[in-house]
Amino acid sequence: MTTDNWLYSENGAAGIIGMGPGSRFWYGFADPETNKVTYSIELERIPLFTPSTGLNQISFGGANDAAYTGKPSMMIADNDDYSYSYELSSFGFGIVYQTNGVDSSEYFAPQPTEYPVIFTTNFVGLGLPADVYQNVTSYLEEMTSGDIDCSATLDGICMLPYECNHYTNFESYAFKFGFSSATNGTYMRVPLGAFAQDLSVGGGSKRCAIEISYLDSLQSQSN
Amino acid sequence: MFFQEFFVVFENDVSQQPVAQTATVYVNTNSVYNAYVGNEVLP
Repeated sequence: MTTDNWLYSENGAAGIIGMGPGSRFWYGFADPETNKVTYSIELERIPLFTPSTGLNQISFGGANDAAYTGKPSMMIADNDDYSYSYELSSFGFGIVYQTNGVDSSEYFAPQPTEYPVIFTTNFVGLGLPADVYQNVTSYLEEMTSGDIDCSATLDGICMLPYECNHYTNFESYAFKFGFSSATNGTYMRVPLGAFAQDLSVGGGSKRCAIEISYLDSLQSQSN
Repeated sequence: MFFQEFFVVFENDVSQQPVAQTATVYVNTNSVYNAYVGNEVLP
């Protein structure tokens, strides 16, 4: 969201909100006393044949956050460059081991931290710069004994040969993000499974896609 | 996807230019994987 008419008149896909930071749209939700605009995002999974039990909401002018009162949280601040990007202090891909359902130890392979993070709803999965993508996909190849096929080209993602329920380690592997502006050593772990989804590949078959996308420094992602 | 595992509250301060933004990240109540926010230190 770096220009006011970003993706204007493009078809919506994966949930596009196209107003840039300078758009008057946001000012309509500003608190007149604090001059601050609050909004929140959480998305549910929509099961195909069972009733939805989750909450799917994007709120403007406030956060529907009653369910989160008192829950652990991490507050971070963006870089002061109009990009709404968040500077990393640490970043890794690895695994958390559990004993009796409780986190007991971890191993994370450190990754470059010079790329800031942008949160957006119009990008499916996690985009990784080329060098980070190469690192992470090499680990994925080891984890799957070479079963995974990752494309290091524009828009490239990783595909497994079977449906996602064939694989069981999605909860253990994660990306660990530490942010420069976070306090008290707070960080977040984003499980690998968050980016896994079954895609139809024809003939009634599906394959598990790991939506970790290759970001090409010379070409923009396709819409 | 990320916003299925996490709930995020954004706040834009429009009283200054460039607009400053903060994000507060929680584990989504609908999380189905082992998403985590906190400061636990593991060996």
